[in-house]
Amino acid sequence: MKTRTFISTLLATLVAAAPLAGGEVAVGRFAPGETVAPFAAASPEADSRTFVKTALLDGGRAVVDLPATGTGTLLVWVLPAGEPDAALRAGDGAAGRELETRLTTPAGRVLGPDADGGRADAVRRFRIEEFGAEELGLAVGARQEALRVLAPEPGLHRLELSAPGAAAVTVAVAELDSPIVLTTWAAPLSRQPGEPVTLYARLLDGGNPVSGVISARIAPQGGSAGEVVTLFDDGLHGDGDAGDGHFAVTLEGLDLPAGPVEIRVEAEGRDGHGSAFARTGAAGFVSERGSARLLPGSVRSEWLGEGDLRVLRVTATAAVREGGDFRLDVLAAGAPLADGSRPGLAWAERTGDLRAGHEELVVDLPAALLGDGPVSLDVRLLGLSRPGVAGRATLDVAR
Amino acid sequence: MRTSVLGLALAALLLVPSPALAKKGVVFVHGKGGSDLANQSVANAYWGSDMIRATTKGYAVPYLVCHYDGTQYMWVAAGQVAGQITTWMNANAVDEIQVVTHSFGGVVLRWILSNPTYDSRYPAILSRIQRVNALAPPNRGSEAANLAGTLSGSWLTGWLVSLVGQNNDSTKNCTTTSMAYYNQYYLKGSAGRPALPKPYYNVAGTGLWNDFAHGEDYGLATLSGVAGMPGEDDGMVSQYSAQGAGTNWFLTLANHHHNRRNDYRKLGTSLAGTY
Repeated sequence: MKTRTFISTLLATLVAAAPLAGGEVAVGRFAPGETVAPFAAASPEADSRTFVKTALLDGGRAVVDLPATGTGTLLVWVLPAGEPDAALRAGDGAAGRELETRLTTPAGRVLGPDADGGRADAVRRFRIEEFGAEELGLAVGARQEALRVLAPEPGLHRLELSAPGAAAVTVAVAELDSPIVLTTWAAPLSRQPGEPVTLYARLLDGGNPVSGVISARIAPQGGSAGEVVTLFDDGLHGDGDAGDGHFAVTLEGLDLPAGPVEIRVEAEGRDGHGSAFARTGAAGFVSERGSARLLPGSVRSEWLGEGDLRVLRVTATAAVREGGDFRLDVLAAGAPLADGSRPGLAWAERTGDLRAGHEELVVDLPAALLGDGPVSLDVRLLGLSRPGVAGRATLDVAR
Repeated sequence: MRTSVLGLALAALLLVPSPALAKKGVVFVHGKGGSDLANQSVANAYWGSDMIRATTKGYAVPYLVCHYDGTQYMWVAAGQVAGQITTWMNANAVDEIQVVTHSFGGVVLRWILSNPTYDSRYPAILSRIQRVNALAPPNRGSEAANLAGTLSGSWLTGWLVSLVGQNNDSTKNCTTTSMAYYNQYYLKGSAGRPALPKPYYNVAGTGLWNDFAHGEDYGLATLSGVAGMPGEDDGMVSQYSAQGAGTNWFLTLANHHHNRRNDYRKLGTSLAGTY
């Protein structure tokens, strides 16, 4: 990892102070060999071999059928939702009755509520009292359990459960070693108001397409999920070729509050042996506030001064809707390398309080930090009073 | 324009005494959790007295256990942490700080290190931080946070939403999507981004699946498996994520994410050896 001293930043700051605008400026250089990463337009891809179901309880009981392809260890996590009744928890022996499960495999193997199984048993129960639920912000019951099935048979595993006092139970089932993988992501990672959002999924069995149906819902910050949308593998929705296991759908006209948006993707299908499977995936993006934006074509650069005072001046115009503190970031890099990254040269940041209306932004990069080769700039306007991306532009600099 | 902190930062830098005269101190910054982590006693219990004693060489140096609401975004948490550090370092004339963070606390410190103009208190803190030791920081997010989103009540309807609950802001902060976003725009120190201004050493936990065999923590072993964490992990944070920013210091074998207390001999002794 690179190093940079605070002293060098402060000294560079003194050099970099621009006359056309106030605010705080910081400038630094990348260490030799360091690169500027290629811009990530989409969220990271997330793999899933797990599916999640939530079952309502009737009289404290429910039956859930769990499909499995028999391609690796099956791990079944049972999470009652909410706290059981206080009276139940306080009763004699009540703790043992907060959750009871019976798992029956397709071949008829049974693990009843009174048995936990031993180390050598193919079906075994692990009682869980804590896993970090509060750390994850989940309001689950005081007790959960995991059921592990070694070498499971393909087919439906029946889970009968009793959770007196709970109203619902969530079951998360992982086929740990399964070659059937659902991969999910979304673009753009940073979505400005009015922009469409494309949801992507890839459903493969050992790298080969597998038949399935994929749907998704999105949930904004602080809200509940919207309508179910279907993802397509017909070659007509930005999903590659028809039937290649790549799915997509583009959503227009989304009205979303600012903040992180979660996406839940559900896949169902049958593998090459006819065994049913299900997968639940996650993705997301950030819905921007739109408090400001960089005007198209307003980002420019010019070389000014001579000798030690020579600088590359970067200017931009922001249309500010909601005033507040913003920061203009400029990353300067050299010519692209084979992997798409660029050798890092220098960076500069100017923080200022922008008012509603049009604001001119200026930041200077000392020429001494930029070398003699080609220079490309990645310019971002970031909110600080209300964190969020207000705009981004790239620019190749003429020598 | 906001009042410039440049002059203050420069003055603070010039006033820092030579290493031989520096008064050292240790700051503990906990991770995600409940809102009750804003209470001092809860934060103290989070670390445990063994860990604090080992890290401070038997309380030989001044120390501060930060306490912030563990449900908030990193910039909200950082505001509470910055206030406590400022008060403590000024009251104790501490001018060389080792910061020890656990989990999300490492991300909170990266926010402070990466965004010095966000808060007028940050530059003075930055000038005194000598090093950050980050235990299991989710620098590239956590698949467990992704799963928490899937398990939350957002996907249910009506009264079930409130029954199951919705994952909180700090969990949203730690999804792999959110951390990819923050790494790209706001946080320094990850690959392809400007460096952090101070040394940031990470410690990653590995060998979590041993827990199914040894019965140490079935809960985290289950979470790891169901969340589908790639490679090695500690049940909550994958090794690749912990090592996603700063310098890789060491791995802790047979570790699990919550062992900031019971592994104090290894971690505390290692931490005490850095100053």
